[in-house]
Amino acid sequence: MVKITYVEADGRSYEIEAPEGWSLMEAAFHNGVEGIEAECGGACNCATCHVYVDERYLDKLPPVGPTEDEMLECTAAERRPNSRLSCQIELGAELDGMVVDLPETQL
Amino acid sequence: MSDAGIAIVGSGHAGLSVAESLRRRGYRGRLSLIGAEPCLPYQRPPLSKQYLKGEWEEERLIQRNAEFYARHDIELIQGERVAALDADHRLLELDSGKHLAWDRLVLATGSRLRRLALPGSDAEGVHYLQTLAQAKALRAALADASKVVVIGGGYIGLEAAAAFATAGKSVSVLNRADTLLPRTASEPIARHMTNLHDSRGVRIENGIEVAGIAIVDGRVSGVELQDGRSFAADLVLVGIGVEPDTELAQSAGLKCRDGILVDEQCRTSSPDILAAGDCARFRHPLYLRSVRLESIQNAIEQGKHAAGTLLGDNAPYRAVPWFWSDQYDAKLQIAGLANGHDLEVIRGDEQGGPFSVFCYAKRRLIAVESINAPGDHMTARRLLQSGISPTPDDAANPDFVLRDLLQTV
Repeated sequence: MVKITYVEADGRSYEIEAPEGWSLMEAAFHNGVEGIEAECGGACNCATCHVYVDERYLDKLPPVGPTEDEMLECTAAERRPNSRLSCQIELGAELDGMVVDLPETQL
Repeated sequence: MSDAGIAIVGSGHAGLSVAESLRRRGYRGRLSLIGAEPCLPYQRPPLSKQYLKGEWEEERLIQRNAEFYARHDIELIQGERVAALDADHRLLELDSGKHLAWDRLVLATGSRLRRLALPGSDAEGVHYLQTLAQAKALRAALADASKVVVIGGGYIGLEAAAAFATAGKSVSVLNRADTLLPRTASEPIARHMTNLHDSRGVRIENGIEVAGIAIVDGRVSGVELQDGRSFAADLVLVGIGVEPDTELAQSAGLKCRDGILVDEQCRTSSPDILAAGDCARFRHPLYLRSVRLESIQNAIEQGKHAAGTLLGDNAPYRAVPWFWSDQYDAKLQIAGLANGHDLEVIRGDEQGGPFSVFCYAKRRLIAVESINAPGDHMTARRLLQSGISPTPDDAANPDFVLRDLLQTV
């Protein structure tokens, strides 16, 4: 299991454990984290699972793919250097303990 | 008003969206969500994609875990059909005989599969794909199948065909219309999808009529066409569309016409009964005509809108419809509704690379269909929402930055 902390824009936080192999989006969605809409269910089609990832873990993440890159240009909240679509990040042991900040809006 | 609260019939994407939105927005009254299937609400899109391909297990399809419903005090009634709706007495009768009172009701009953009504249709080996149970049966049967015939050239049929072909099966798609995706996609997209399937060895037959299912020892052995040809098959998937599930609504006397008729606030013809999702037909302010949408996006967003109406909002529902379909490595994304377009403009490389089809009606942009061009798709959604039409020349010019049009808004 991988432990991730999600912090909503209003400061509420959720500590969640999810199986390796799930996506960062699924772990949040399954547990009812509100700041992730994930309308397309994780197919990189909607850009509503935008997150700001822990800078300390940036180099442990898979690189931003071309589809994700284009979708990140269209997020509702501003794109920052640590912006990712959480459906494109697979949970592995190396991400254990990561903190993820959620934007104010996804739509 | 009593304290019976709000009941939602249907726990698909629309029903769940209503329930979640109500709680997120602070509704504290009683809230029941009734689903006919005996499992937690789950995502349907992966059934024909990741789940069918064996990449995902059932657990990953579940939307919210059981604890979520408890935490939000959502009374989830699973595995129960609603047998009757009594609008006068504000009561639902469930299959188990239990009665459930409501002050306000949301119908999110979704759609029902259109069934093949031909000789042999009931044979073992004939499958449908709408529910998790059906997907499970199909996935299990697939292991022993080698020749698969898909009846229907819509999204379900094509996504499943892609999964079958990827799994190394011999696949034929028998399509009644003259092109694939006849109701929903423009010709260039249909052509692209045809070529794509062709390149993966999937045989596509357009413009055919199925006469019946051939059977040996009670099991499917092939599909027979009216033109006399037959296709051998040890597994048949029927994907010939759905119809809105309006049975309860009609029994309660609500106005229906290929869908439950709702106004811009998702209200039916009966006070205090709303409808949302695949089952609802409404006038779309961006298209100025009545539409009924079979899509996740509409289920979720119209569900949210219905929740808003229940909480006193008055805004009209005017979300831009959008759809997607992943087949092989092609990402098809559609923004808007292309029906009735009179001009198609291609942006990008229709033959090889990413491209989009900009569909216009009377010089107004009404839809954009993209293959592997997510930036075009996302921009198109915003253009359509804002009512901005790039000129056809600008749309076709890859050096013209479409997003710049949005900055003037």
